[in-house]
Amino acid sequence: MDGRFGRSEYLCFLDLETLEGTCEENTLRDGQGGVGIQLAQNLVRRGVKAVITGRVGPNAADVLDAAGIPVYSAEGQTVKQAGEGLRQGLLTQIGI
Amino acid sequence: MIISVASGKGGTGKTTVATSLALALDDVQFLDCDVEEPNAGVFLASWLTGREDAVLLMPQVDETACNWCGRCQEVCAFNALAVIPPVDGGSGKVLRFDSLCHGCGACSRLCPRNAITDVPEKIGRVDWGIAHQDGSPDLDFVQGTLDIGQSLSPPVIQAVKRHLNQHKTVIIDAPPGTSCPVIEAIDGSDYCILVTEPTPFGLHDLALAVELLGKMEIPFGVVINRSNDRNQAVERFCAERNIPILFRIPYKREIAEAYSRGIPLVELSPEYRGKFRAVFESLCRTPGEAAQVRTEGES
Repeated sequence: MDGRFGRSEYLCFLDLETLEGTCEENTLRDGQGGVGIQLAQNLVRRGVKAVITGRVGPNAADVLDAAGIPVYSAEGQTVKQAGEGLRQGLLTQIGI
Repeated sequence: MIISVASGKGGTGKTTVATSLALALDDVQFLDCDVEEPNAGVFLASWLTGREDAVLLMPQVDETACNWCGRCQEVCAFNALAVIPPVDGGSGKVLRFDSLCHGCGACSRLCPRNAITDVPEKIGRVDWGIAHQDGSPDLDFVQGTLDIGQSLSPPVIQAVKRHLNQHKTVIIDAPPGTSCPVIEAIDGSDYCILVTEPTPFGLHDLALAVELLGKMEIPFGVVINRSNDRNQAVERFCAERNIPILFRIPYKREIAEAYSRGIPLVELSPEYRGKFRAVFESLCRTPGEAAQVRTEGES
């Protein structure tokens, strides 16, 4: 897991039931400013139900909070561990 | 004629040069565009008689008219808006991030539902009046001040420059650096004086400023402040690029002492009046090719 939210290298979309999904490059990561806001907004539009990351900035946290999407931290873990952790309720909620 | 005074590095003596240049000439309007620290007024005793707010036009979204299409967020080059469509019968929201908004107005113009209005938000102020110094003609004086907590100085600089009087000799005290605030301040100048100091930092940042002025196609010359026996690198840099060195202000205790008391250079050493005038007159004769002004006893 990348420590950063908006500027993370990859995005993985997981089905929490099966822990399977797809990964893609985060094309926003080299943007100038407001990258976290833009990514948060994209995730809202894609209909994600929860976000697992390392840390999240206040602006992106505002967007995710407004959309009712909880944010969890799993820095240093693998994606698989993070998904497992969320399913078992072991991750710490962060953000607002 | 509009003459701006800039530098790559901060603290090289822009305000020292700008204020003394202004005091040495006739019929001057002085614009303090260093809006994060407008301190030219320390050298120029000023009576401020007018004040106005400097504003940024920020979007206000009428959420009852919004259909959450997301167009405003798409056209925002600074990611200052986030559109959250309603879910499960709840209410939607459009979030505005003030620290990112540049007040460009794209969102309000391009909203297909006309749900966005531009609302002025105060980010600073402009003050104006007269500056008086015994022995010098009075100056028209305008200064901008960015409010505490605001990060976007160019709109405040624009607000100052709206007071620019083309019928006068306009002296602009620019902020340091080479980014947007500097560009905003010096844009439209007929000539720029770059102030530097003979240190590796002064030279490094002078090179950046020279590159900027080349791109902006503004003619310029250099003043070396705190000039001493270590000028060689700056002098060589200028010689190699045919950049005129307008004059040098020596590294002297008495100049530093006067500065620390807010006494302008031309008041301490009246011979600088002549140097500044000579630079100005050479600019008037051959704009863009200011002759070097040399006097006896320069280091």
